[in-house]
Amino acid sequence: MKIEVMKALMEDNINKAQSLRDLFYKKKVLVLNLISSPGSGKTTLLEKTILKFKDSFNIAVIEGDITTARDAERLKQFNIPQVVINTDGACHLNSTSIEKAIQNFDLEMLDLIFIENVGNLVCPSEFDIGESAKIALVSTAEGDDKPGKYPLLFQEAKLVILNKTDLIPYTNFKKDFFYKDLNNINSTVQVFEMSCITEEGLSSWFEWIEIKISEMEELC
Amino acid sequence: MHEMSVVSNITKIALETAKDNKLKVIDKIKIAVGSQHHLAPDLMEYAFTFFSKDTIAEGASLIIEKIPITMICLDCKKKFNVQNQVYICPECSSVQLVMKSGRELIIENIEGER
Repeated sequence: MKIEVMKALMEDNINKAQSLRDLFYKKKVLVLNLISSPGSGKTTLLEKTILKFKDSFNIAVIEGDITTARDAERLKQFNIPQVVINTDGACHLNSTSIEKAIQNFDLEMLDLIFIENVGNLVCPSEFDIGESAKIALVSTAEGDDKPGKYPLLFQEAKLVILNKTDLIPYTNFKKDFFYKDLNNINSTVQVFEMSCITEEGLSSWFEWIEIKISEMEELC
Repeated sequence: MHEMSVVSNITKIALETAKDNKLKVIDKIKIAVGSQHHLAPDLMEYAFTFFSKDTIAEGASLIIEKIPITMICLDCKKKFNVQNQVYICPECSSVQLVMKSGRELIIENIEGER
């Protein structure tokens, strides 16, 4: 006999993510979910960003790391609240892990939470974790073909960061190829080109964060 | 790798449904997967053998129906399937689109015996 089920498979995760999003909204906390490959520069970008804003905003970080706490160690110098989620091999964070992690924070005191997702372009794109925005971070050294190969991430992203632009002369990265691919998938997404080493382009990213935080304040 | 989370969920829902309907064995589980999801069918089947082991779903076939990505153009109202990851209206080149299908991840039905 056949039994109709018609149930959404990730319903639990989606519902929990939505209640987290409502909570962040109520507490006026901007939550940015950074998704990238390993080695694209997430932690360096966070170092630069926290250094810039640590006196103007209250920032916390959630580090998703498969086994180590190395990224968290690098951010310790800033003396901000941070939680490491060791996924023990799992390739993504989900809303249950975020719900647990934020128990360690006083949301009333925070303006901004960065979530450094597990380095992976596939799985983290599939999971809503209640973030205000998913940010796709790609570096030029990875190649110019990433949007076409990982379309879901670039569809989901509210912002794309193209990092390590200072390395372009040493790679075969073709900007027009990258943008053609990206435009096919998500032609309206905002893109910031930057280099965390030369600090070129960082100011647009800083401005974007300031605008998003003030929008959050006004909306609530 | 996230196939594991998805398949664990499929097995859980199928077993609950079977229990509610007093099934003694599950033969088939049918799921619909929108093409925007990056889910490898062979990995899902492999994961299913683990999750279903020693349950009434052991040996059941997992039928995966792929749903195409369909968009509707807000400017010219054309409905089209997305091919080669191009989210641009083939009729009027507009990018003002609304998704009609492609994000499904649904367990549709199960088949079994009482």
